[in-house]
Amino acid sequence: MSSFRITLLSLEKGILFSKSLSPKSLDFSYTPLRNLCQDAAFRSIFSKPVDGWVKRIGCRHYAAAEKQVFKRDKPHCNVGTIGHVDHGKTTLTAAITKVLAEENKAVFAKYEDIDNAPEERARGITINAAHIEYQTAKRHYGHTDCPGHADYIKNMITGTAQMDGAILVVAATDGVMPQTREHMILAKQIGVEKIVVFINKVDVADKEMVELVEMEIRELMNDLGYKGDEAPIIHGSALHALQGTEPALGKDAIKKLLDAVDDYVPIPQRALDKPFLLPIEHVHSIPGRGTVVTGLLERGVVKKGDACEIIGYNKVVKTTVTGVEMFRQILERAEAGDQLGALVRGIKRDDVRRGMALIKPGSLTQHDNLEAQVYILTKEEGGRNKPILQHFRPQMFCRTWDCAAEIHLLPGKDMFMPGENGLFKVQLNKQMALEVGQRFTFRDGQHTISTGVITKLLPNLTDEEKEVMTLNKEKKIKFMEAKAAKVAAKAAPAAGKAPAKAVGKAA
Amino acid sequence: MRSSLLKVCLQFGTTHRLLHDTVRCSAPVSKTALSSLRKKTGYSFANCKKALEQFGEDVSQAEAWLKEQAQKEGWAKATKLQDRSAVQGLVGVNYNPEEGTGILVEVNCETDFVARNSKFQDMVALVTESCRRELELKPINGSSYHKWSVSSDVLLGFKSTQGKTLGDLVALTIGQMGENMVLRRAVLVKANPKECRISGYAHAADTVSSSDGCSFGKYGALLMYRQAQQGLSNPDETKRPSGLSLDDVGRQLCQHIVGMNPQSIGSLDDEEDSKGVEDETRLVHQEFLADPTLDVSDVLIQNNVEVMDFVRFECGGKISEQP
Repeated sequence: MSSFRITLLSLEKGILFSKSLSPKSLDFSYTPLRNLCQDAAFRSIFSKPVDGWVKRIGCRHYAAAEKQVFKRDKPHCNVGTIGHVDHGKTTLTAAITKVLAEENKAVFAKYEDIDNAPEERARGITINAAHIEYQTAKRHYGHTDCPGHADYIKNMITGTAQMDGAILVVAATDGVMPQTREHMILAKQIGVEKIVVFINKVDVADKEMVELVEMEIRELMNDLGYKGDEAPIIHGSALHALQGTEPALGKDAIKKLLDAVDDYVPIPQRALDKPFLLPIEHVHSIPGRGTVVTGLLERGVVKKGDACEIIGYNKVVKTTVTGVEMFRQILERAEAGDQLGALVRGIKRDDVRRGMALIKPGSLTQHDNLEAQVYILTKEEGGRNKPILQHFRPQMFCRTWDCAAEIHLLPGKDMFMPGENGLFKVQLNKQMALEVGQRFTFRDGQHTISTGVITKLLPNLTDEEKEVMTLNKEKKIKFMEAKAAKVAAKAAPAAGKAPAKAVGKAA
Repeated sequence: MRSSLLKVCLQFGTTHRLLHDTVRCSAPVSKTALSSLRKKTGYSFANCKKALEQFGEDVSQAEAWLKEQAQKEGWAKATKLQDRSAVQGLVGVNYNPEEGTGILVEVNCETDFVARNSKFQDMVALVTESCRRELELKPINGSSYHKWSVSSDVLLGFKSTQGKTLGDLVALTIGQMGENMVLRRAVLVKANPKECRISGYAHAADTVSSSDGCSFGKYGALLMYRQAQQGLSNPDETKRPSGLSLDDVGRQLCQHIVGMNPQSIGSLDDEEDSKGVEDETRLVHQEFLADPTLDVSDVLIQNNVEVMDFVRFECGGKISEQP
């Protein structure tokens, strides 16, 4: 949804005219654009039209189309709206852009623009999120609006819109709906810690009702592990804001909401402020100097003399950065985003390899057992048309490394279809530098099967578990059954019914 | 069907409202009463308030009125929302090999949030339950099994509990959840348990839930199969050579049908596939999902099983004409 600014320049008078246009009008043969240039030229310089001037415009003035430059002067933050379909999510989003557009802090997005392509929905095509940007005095926001639970999860997994906070929209007339619980569970699932609530349609409800709705929301939030008592709850009417009526319920409520979002939703830590991490792409041995590891500095700042660790593939090597270079020039300090080479003291070329990570000591640890939220690609997205079953063994790709992995489904699950997402337990052949929130993909040789994000690190595998991993499928199932039976036998004297159930499940 | 029912209900509704309007005595509504009524019934604040205004402190009468109102408003809401597209939802599977019944229904709603809610799931369970009762009345006239495809209109007319139809039930839920819902399709199977076994499987990615023998998911399948003639004919002989019971084989085959989406059964005598393993759509020639080293045909022969028929539903999927 990028708009373009059309600027009409005059060699004598500078910028004559500037207007924001939609991309399709970029084509210069597009008649409205030609008319517009001529109109503008007439209006601005030809207050007294002179014969022959029109021709001169043709050669001496030209229209230049340019994309607006994004100014990075405020911290960026991602928020999204969640709520029942009829409670006014889209109206609220439109209202926010309208109110901010008056202060030149957003481009007004009409309801129809946000609620795009109803015909696509009718054809059953998954519509992706609507992304809208706006800014307040303090921050720049990306705003997401998705139609369904699965869409938000997919966004979270692929990282297209990691939400830092959410705005829950509830209509005062209906109050909390049965599915509001599901909306909040979703927020929890995608890692949203802070929820700001907007009670919409207060113009058609009376005061006590609004108060009760507020009470109910706080209660539900507390129920689901949110801090319901401290969450800001704003009352207003998105429709009034959109129509520009009743400023107290309309415009002012929207401003209050945005202030609350500014104050309550935390800003994610910037990559620059985090401890440094360099995923190693190559290792070189430079005669007379030593070993150099190269790669793109993912985050933090590295300086000459920094103590560091190189970890991955079960290995930990402690050393010091004795020099940082970029483009064969010595760097004082390298920042996140720099492609650099780091000279490391006392390390042989064979001690380290591609896929390991150079990190600030202690800032990352190695793991081979984790839990991840995974989305399985459909065939149209480049995946397979087969489901994933228990003990599936793909290759896991992440940063610069890849490693054989084994998938364990949670109890009660037996398969996952393409297009679905779910929680997997993943075991790796080797311990790698891993952390929560890290994204990865699974491949099976020909296809990228799925993409995921690490949600939890589990205790590293024991020797026994590692051995089981090398067994073939039948032996593995037998082993699991034996283990379950053992557990059941142990628990048998304690409880009568439960172990029988466990055995049944294992079988 | 639905619209005619609607009319009746709406008419009924209007007369009722007139009646109540005449007796309305606007008493001030206390906040605690409103809150407790809402908590107790779950109906919207606006309606709870109206009820209290009419009946004062008489909560039981208010509740009765709300219940009635909910059904009425459900129908009104259902008409209002009926054009909104509903492609999310659940497939409900209910089968019983001993009775020889199998039910597969698809119920749609607008967002998957609603599909994950227990109220919606309860409704789907009630729908399958009512299909099961309907199935009890159907004769199969000596054949080993019979399969009925039921259209949306017919489903709406099935009897639910307390003298209501499934149409009433759906309308009530629409009123509660505020989303359009559609009973899209159903397949009912009745078999002679001696000649044909039924197995079923519902697949859901995250919330695996079930109630009263009904399981839900985004996909569902029913399988009609039998022990091949020449082999062990005693159904009590549950252990197969592969260590799987007959029911396990049925379940695995159902899972295979959900996972691999075969289009036809195919025959063991067919010539080998020309399209390659990936695109094989005949069930018996597909790679077996639970053990890719085998074909489905191998599994059938090993276990002495013959597939008679199958049905597969994908929520929001195309309705294909089953033979």
